[in-house]
Amino acid sequence: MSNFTEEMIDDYANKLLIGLTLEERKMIQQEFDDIEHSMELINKIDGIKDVEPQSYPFEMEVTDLRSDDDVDEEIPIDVLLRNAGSVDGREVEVPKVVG
Amino acid sequence: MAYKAVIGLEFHCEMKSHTKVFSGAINGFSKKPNQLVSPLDMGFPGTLPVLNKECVKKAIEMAMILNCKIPEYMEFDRKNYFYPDLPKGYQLTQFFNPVGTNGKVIIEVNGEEKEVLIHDIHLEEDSASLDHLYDTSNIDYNRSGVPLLELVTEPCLNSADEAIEFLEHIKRIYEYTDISECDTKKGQIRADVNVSIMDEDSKELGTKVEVKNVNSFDSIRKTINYEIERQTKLKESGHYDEVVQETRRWDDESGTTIHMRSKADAIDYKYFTEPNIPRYKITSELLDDIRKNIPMLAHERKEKYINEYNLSLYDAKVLVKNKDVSDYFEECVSLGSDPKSACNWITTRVLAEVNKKDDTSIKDIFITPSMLAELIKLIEDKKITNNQGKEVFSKMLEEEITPLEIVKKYGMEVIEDSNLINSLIDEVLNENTKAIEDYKNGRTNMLDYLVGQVMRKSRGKANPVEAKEKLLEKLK
Repeated sequence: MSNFTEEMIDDYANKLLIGLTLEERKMIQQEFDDIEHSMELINKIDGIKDVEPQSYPFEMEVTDLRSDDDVDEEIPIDVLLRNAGSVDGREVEVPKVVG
Repeated sequence: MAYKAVIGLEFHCEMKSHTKVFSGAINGFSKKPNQLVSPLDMGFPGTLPVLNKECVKKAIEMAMILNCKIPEYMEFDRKNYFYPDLPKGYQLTQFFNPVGTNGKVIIEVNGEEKEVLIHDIHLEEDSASLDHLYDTSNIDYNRSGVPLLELVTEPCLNSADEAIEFLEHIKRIYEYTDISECDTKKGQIRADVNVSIMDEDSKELGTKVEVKNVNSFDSIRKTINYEIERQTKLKESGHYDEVVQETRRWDDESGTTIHMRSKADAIDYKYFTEPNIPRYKITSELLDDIRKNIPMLAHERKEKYINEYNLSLYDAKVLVKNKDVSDYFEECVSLGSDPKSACNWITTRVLAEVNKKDDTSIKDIFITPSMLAELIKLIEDKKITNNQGKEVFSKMLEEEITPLEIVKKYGMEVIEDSNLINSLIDEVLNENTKAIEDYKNGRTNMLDYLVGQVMRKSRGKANPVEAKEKLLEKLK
């Protein structure tokens, strides 16, 4: 029995401004269940309650950054747009969104 | 009933740098779509953001100038939302730990000082730009990843005048520090404007309306005035409940604000710390280095012009209003021009020429600071007269040659031969016996007439001061 109802998933989708098909909703529900199951497994690890949540995978900091003078070479437009589903001239084309 | 307007601003400004904030693609302006793009700017899986040091330094510099508290670490957060201009599905910004917080600046509004409180300033990336066509939208990623600084004020401004003066002040800081060009024509500035009204004697804030993405100072002024008027009318007619917490947009065509979404539809951005950018330690050495390299800002140059060069407050303000103009003036002075002469030429003739056409900067006109300095020197050395100087100036623009070349081409050098001047004066005195008589009978203005005659005979090449002195001697 899933802890995630169809209404909950539709609500999340609405908040993200996306619409889901029935098939997608089912798939997401399954993924949520898998994630929850993994969380439950993690929660069983001894002493897990004493571990502080982390924002980064490692406790590390950097003291040097990228130089502004390191400029990438221009990418040919056909290479750049190779993965786009639809293109119009040099631009990626998508169904009309409200401006 | 008097109402007080309460205004807060969120001011976005594109930064100047060679490359984008998290990728090595060029940060520039291109009319060719998708030319200045790296895979990261298109959100390709497997790409990772690498922070640009120059952008970090400039962001810290701005936070310092705004007297903000600067954190120990530079950190970024994800602002999640779904829209085609944002290929990763989130914007990299600073939400939990901005580069500057709790700052303040003093501005001058209609001759009075006003303290403006800064809630925070943060570094973030710009989104791609969209072209909306009939039934499709096209995406150009050139702008995706361009570094942006967003400055957020406290709701402490009370009129459109104050808001615009504050933004002009900030724009001048960006220009003088070279952090941004603030070019509205390239869409480099955008503001979100929060406006509410409240009873003058009340302590309770009114309902806040946010107007998004206003992209020129003129539109910001109109937005504020329109919202104050709209909310005031509703309040006075007993319909203040119609002022709701909402997001609106400014419509230039109708000159009104239009509803976009209500508070209930507000997007939950689910902010969380960006794990792919390790924290960057802001060391005291870095802060010292940035602090000592902050250039002289507009208000400091203004003080220098008044105190060191004895210019009027008005002239000093005209010169510092635009950095290019101020730089032009400073170069003339560094080349040896008298500051007052340089100021006079720039604030009258030079700026008149610049203002003749739209979109012209002082850098675009033919006359460079070294040419103006040369012209001023010719006048100071009495090689040409003031009036000839004005003629030389016009001819420089027409013929695009230097002052010396104009003077030589038109034989404008002042006559230094005393004998020649004496003989011209004698001629004038012989031809104007009536004027001499009138002068001797008390009509002292006849002297100017006689000087004019000498100047006419010399075709403007006599030194008028010298001619006057010699005439006075001969008329004794």
